[in-house]
Amino acid sequence: MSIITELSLSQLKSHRRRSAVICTAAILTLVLFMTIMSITFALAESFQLSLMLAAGSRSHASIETGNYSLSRTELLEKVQAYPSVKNTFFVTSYGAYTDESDDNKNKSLYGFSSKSMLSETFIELVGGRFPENRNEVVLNREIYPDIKLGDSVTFGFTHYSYDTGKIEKSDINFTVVGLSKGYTDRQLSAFTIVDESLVNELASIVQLFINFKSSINISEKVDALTESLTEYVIVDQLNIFVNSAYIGANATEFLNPLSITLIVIVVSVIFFAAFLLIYNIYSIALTQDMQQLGLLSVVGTTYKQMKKLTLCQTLILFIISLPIGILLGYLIGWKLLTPIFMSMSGEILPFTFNWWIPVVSIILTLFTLCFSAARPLRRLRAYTPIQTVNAEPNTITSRKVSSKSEGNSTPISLAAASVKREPKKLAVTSLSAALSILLFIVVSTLADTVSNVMTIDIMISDISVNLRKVSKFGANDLNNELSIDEKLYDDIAALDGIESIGCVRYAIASVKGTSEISQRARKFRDTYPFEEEQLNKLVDGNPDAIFIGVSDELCKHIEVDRNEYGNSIFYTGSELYDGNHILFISERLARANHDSTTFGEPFDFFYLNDGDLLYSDSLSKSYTVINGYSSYSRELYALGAIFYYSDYYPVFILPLSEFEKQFPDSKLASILINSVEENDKSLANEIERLCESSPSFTIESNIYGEEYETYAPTAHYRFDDMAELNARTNAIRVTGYGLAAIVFLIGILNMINSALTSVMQKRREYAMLEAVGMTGNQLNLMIICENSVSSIISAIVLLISTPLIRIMMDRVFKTEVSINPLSATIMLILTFAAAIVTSLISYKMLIRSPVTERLKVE
Amino acid sequence: MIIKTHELTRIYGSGENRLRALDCANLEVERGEFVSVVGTSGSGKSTLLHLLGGLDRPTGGRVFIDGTDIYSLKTDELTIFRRRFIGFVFQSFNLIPGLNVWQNVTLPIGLDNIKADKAEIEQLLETLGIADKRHAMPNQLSGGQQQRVAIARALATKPHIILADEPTGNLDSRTSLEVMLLLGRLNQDAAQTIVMITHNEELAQMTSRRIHIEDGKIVSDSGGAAK
Repeated sequence: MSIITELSLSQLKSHRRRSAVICTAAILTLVLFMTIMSITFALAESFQLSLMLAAGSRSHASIETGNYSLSRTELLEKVQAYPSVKNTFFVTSYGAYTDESDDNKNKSLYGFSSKSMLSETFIELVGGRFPENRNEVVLNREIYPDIKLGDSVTFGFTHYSYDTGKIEKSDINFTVVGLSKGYTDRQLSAFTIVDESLVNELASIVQLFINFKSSINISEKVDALTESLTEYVIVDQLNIFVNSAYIGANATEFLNPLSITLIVIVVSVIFFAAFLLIYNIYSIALTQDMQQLGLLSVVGTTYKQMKKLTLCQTLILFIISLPIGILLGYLIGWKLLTPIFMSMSGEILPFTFNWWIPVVSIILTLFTLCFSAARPLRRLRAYTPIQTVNAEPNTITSRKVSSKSEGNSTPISLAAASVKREPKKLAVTSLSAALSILLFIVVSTLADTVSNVMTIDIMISDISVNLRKVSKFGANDLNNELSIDEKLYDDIAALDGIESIGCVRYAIASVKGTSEISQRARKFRDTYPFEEEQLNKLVDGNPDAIFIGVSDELCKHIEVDRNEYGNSIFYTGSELYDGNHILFISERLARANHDSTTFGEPFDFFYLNDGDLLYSDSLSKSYTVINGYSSYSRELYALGAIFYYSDYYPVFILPLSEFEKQFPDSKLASILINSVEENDKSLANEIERLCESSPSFTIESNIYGEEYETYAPTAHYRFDDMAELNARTNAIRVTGYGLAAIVFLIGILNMINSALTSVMQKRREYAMLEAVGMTGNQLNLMIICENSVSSIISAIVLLISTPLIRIMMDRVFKTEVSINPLSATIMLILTFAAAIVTSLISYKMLIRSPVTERLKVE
Repeated sequence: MIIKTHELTRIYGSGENRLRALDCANLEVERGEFVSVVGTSGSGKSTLLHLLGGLDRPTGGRVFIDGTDIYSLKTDELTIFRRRFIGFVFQSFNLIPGLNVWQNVTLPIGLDNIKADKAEIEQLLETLGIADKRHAMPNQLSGGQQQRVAIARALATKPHIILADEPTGNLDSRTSLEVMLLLGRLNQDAAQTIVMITHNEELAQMTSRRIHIEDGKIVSDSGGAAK
C-alpha cells in the first residue's frame, strides 16, 4: 500500500465524524443526481415512444422507391447491402374511401411487405394471420367491431389512373383473414401485402422503410445512403422521411438552447448545493489538520501529494457511500419519484431503467466530491511549511485584521468578532442554506404556476351537457339535424342546487362569398371530388356557414391573437357585444400560428379579414368581422368538429343575446350549468338521469361499416377535470418537493456541521472565556449570536434573489408568477433552529470536561 | 562546505511592527560538523534554522546546501530537496499520530515512491534503540522514544544535514542526555552534519562548534568564522 493510501486511511480513522458527514453528503448528492437522471431518461424514452406512437412507426427512416430508376427489388438489395443498414421493408398506402362524405384520413388501406413490419408500426395481430396475397386483408378490430374472419369487404379507391390519365374510382373486394389491434395515436384501419399489380393499379407510392444498426444521427446516415444512390435518382427532389422520434435522429434539434439550459441549470443547482457542503467540510478539515499538513510539508510532501492525499480520502469515502447511494437513488429516484413525475402528463408510457443513469450519476457525484474537496487546499500555497506547523487552529486561516475597538467586550461583540475572523466560512454556510431554501421557493412556485397554466383548459362551468356520439371512435360531428331537446334544458333548470344555467346555440345559414373565394373553390372542386355540395355553394358565392351563440363569458375564451412568446391573447374587447360585430373563427389563422408542417400550407376556402363586412341573406344586417382562431374552452370543445370542417364551413360566433335575435329558431348545442355546491353528487345524478331519458338522435352514418350513428346528450363535469389536474399538479409537487427536500437536507447538514465544528474548534477559546469569568448564559448568548449571523445573511440573500427568481419565472412561463413567502420563512426558521440547537447541545457536552483540561494545547 | 549562507535576512511585519528576526547572517558549516546555535528567546536562532531548512522564505540573502541555492528552486523542487537532503527533528517530536513507528520513519522514503530497504531501516531502529517499538503508535511511546523515532525519520533518507530544533526541549534531563549522546554518536560514527538549536549551555558544550545569536545577528562562533 502506498504511503498516500496509508496516510489517507489513518486520517479517516482519526476523524470518523467528519468522514461520516462526507459520506452522508456523497449519498445525498448521488440520490439527487440519480433522481434527475432517472426523470431525464424516462422523459426521453417516453418522449421518443410517444413521438413514435404519434408518427405511427418506430422505423428510422424511409425513402420513396419511385425516386430511383432501379426496380424495387434492386433498390432494396442496394440499400440492404449498405454497411450501416440493419433491415428494410416496403410499405405503401393504397388509400380508401367508403362513400363520398367519408373522412379518408382514418380509413387508409396499407400494404406491408413483411409481417415484421407489424411491430414497427405498433400493430398486433389478435386473430387470424398475415395476408398472403392482394385479395386478403387484416382489419382493425376496434374500427370494425362487427367484422369476422372470412368476411368479404369492399374498399372504394379514388386514384390516379395511368391508363386514362384521370382520377378514377375503383371498388376492390377483399377477404378478411386477420384482425389487428393498434397502439398508435392514429390507428391503421386495414392492411394487406405490398403487391406490384395492386400498386400499379392504384398508382400507389411505395416507401422503403429502413432501420440502421444504431439510432444515433439518423439524418446523416440517410444522407450518406441517398448520396450513394445518386446515380439512380430520377426526380428533382427526393422524398425522404426521417423519424425524428428518435432523440438522436437530429441531435441539434433536440439539444436546443432551452433544453440544454434546463439540464445545465438543474445539474448546476445540485452540484452547487453539494459543493457548498463538501467544500465547507474540507475547509474546516484543513483548519483542523493544518499542523499535520504542515508537518507533512516539512517532511517533504509536495502540494500535489497533499492533493492526492485529500482525493484519496475522498475516493475511499465515495466507495464506502456508493452502494447505499445507488440503492437509495434507485429506490427514491427511479422507483418512487420518476413514476410520480411521469404521471403528471396524464398518461404513463412505459419506460425502462437505463444503466447510464447510475453511470452518469456516479461520474457527476465523484466530480462534485473531488472538486469540492480539493478547493480548500489551495489556501496552503499561501503559507510556508513552518507557518502551518506552528500555527494554532483557526489562527492560520482567519483574517489578521487589527481592531481599534476600546469598548467593553460583551457576548454580542465577542460573537461579532468571532464571525469577522472567518468570513469565507460564513459565506459558504449562509449560501448553502439560502440555496436550499431558494430551491423550495422555485419548486412551490413552479407547481402553482403550472396548475394555473393548466386551468386555462379547464371548463368555466361546473357541468356541461353536449351531444356526443355514442361510440368509441368518431369525431363529435355536428349535424344540422342534431339538437339537444329544449325540454332537457327546462328540466335541468328546474332542479335544486342550480346556481345558474346557460347554453350554446347554433344555426346554419348561408353567407356571401367573394369572387376570389369562388375561383379557389372551383379549382379545388375540379381536382378533388369531396364535399361537392358545399364546394358548389362556394363556387356560387353562397356557402353555408355555422353560426354559434355563446354567453359573454365564453366569448372571453376565444383566442384572437398571440403575443411575442406565442401565448394566447383572448378576446377582452367590448365591440362584440354592441350588436354590430361578429367573431370569425379562421382555421387558416390558427394553422399559420401553429406548426404548419403537420397540416401543410394554411388554407381556407372562405376567408375574411379583420374589419371586413359579413353579408348574408339570412341575416337582418351585416356585421363587422373580428378575427379569432380557436377556443380553449372545454364547453366549445364538443363543437370541435366544426373547426375541423372550417376548411369548407366558416364559423361565426355571436354573443347569445344578438344571436337569438338573428336566429330565433336556432338549435341547442350545449347546456352550461353552475351548481351551488362544488361537486354536488346528487345534482350530477339527477342530470345523468335526465340525460338518459332525453331523446337521442340516430342519423345515417358516413362511416364505412356503420349504417347509423347515434348521438345522445352527455354530461361532463369540471370536477373530473379538476381531479385530473390536481393529480398532475400533485405529481409535480411530490417530485419537486422530494428533490428540494434532499437539497434542503444538504443545507441543514452544512449548518449543523459548521455549528458543531465551530464549537469544537473554539473549545480552548471558550475555556479561556470561562476561566476569565464568563458565565454559561453569557456563553450561550454568544453562541446563539454567532450562529444567527449565517441565518440573517441567508435571509438577506433570499430577500434579494426572490424577486429576481420571480422575474425569471415570469419570462420562462410567460405568465404572471406569484411567490408564497410562507414556505421560505419556515425553511429559514428551521435552518436557524438547527444551527442554534446543535451549537448549544455540543457546547453543553463540551463543558463536561474541566476548564483546565480544555485549556491545554492539543 | 555543506552549508553556506550569504547575507541571510528575515524581516517580519511592516511599518511600526517591523521586526528583523535575522540580520545579514553569513555562516559556513563544513561536512561532518556538529554545530549548536544558542541564544535567548527571540534571538533568531529558530529563524536561522528554518531558513537553513527551506521551511521559511528569507527576506534577503541566500542559502546554499551542498552547493545548491535552495531559494532559487521552485516550491515543489525545494520540498523534494528537503525531503531527500535535510532531516528535521523538532522539540515537540511532530510524529504523524495515525502512523506507527515504522510508517513514521519510512514516510519521507515513501513520499519518493521508493520502497524502503527493510534491512537498513531495521538497522536504524536498532541503532536508536526502538527496534522493538516498530509497530507501536506514537501515543504509546514515551517522550524519549518519540524523539528517537523523529531522529530515525530524519535519518531515513541519509540526508546531507540534520537540523534539530530544541530536540531535548520537552524531555527530562536524563533523556535529554541520552538523545544528545545519540546525536553525538551519529556525528562521530557517520560523519553526519548536525545543526542544533538549544538554549541549554550544558548541552551546547557537547557539540564541536557553538554559534551565539543575539538580536538576529551572529555575535560569536567558537568553531568557524562569524562574518
